[in-house]
Amino acid sequence: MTDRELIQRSLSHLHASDGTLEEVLRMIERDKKKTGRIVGRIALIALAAALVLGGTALAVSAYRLHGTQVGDYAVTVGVETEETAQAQATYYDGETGLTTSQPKAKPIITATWLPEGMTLQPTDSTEYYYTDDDGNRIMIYPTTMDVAADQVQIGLTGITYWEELSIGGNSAIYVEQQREFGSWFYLYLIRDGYVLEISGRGVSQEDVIRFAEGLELEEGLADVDGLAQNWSEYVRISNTSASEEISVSETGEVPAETVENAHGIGEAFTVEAHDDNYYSSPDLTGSTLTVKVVSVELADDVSALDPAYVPSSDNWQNAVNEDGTLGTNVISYYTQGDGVNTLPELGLTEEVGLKLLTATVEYTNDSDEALDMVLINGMLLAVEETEDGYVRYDYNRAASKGYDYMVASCAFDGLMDYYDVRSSLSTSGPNYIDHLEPGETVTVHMAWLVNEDEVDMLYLSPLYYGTNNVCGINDIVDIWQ
Amino acid sequence: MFTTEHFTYLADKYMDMIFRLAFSYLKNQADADDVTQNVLLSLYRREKPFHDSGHLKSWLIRVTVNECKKIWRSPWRRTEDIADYAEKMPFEEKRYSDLFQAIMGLDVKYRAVIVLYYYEGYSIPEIANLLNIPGGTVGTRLARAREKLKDTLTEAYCYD
Repeated sequence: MTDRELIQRSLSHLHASDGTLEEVLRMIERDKKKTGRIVGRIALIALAAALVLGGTALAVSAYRLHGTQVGDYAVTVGVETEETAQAQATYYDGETGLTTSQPKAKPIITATWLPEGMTLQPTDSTEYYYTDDDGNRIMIYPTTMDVAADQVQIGLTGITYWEELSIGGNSAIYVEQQREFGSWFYLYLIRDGYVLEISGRGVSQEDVIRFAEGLELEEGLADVDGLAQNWSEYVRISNTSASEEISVSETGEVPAETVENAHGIGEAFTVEAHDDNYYSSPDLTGSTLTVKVVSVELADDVSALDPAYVPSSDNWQNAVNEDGTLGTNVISYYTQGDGVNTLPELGLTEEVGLKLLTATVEYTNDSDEALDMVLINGMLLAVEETEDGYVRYDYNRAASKGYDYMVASCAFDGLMDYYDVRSSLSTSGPNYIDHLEPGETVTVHMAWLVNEDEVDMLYLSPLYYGTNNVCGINDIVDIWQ
Repeated sequence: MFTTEHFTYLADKYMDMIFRLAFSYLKNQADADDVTQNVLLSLYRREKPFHDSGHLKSWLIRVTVNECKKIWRSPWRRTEDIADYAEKMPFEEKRYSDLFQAIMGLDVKYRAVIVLYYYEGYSIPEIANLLNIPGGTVGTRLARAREKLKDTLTEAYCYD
């Protein structure tokens, strides 16, 4: 018996208590009575009547893409079928709630024609990513035309133009979408049992069509190339909000306890830690790290920084003048629009002065054992006290001015841009102290560009860890205390 | 985002996975049950869609870990004697009970990777991503856990 089998048998009797699921369902029913169900964004409510789900699974071999206008700026794209007698094995997909068919293997796609200057640049998220030096791009996402395809419609908002086409005898729909950062196109094309979503920006409709005409498809091998997601599942995912996970801290809430117990400058505080600063069991004693923010300073230029560690990001290039002085942050505020009857609209543009904030932070190993790979992760938070508690002003800046979102020439996320201690051993990024002996202290100098009008609200978390999670804001320092 | 039927299907499918991971952190049935309920409620209340079942499973694991960390901070955290708990479980052989107690006797940083690697079948890079720790650290913890368990394990460990 292998180790794996032994361990599996030793853990196999760990089960949640009987009645756990029933209790959860009771809590859900209580929730429903109190607040009702909240449905996504305004655009989804407006589109809801136009998105029809359900129906009988059909075995079909002929498909046509069909668009329907909704309001002034939204379109639903669905598949119409010609009913034929062709047996297909179907199954109930518990993840989607639909009766559908097995996905096909991903196709191998070759583009025989590309717009001038474009080359293939595969990424982690898609194998078919073509781009040029100006940032114009075309991406292809293939899905399987499954038997549930005619039961779903994809809802697209912010649409300024669309038309149904035939490309090489295959049904297609071309769509132009107005987004926050410019115009985007989609071309949905049915080919060889697949629905291809061809999308991108900076390419004319004529070139998009010519690109699509030149595509060659060959069905791949499931074991080698993987499976192409079913169209019905892809539509389900696309019909709700953006794909990024939102955690508590992305909504901007900061626990009151965290703010009210903030440490001051020069105050050393201790955290349970060991290598890589992952929270250890409270039963583990003696493994601690002491942190102290020694000092904080503001400046109008970057002359105090070591050039070896100054970032070369767009933010810093936009913010720092050639002589090292700081410029301004140009911020534009927009109303979102509902994407159905209204589009995003610019409401206000302002120029905000910039400051360089530097902090000197000491990390000391208090334990009896050496620590390896100690995380350094300074995070600045602009915290505002409101009627509802403490919130991240930097997350809510646009809302505080009555707008839905903003676009800034210098966009800050609070994470340290500059730090002068770098790991030579880490494979997970350079922001680690490789080794701390018992009693040893390492001093790190960190720096951030900040909006001048947010300076008074700033707190520093010198040990911000993990993903964007409120738990990582523990032990913050009031840098003006 | 889910119908009740759909949610019930998902909850039934992943409930024990959530519980196992929570128990590996907390070593307490009642606390692990609380975490399981909280995680399932978070799943039901989630507005944003998952890309696929792999995305959903990873999300559940991350939320479970975060919920466990919240309980660590609670002054009402409960404790339970693992030996007493093991006696109530229907192990087929004593060595499984011994191994269970040995695993639960490890530090939590080792227990979590043991559960994710050996029981849930995640690879080292996947575990590193889920727990947001370096891949080398995951490998080190697995090796050290095996070292501590070697008196109980009957065969030599091999990386898959």
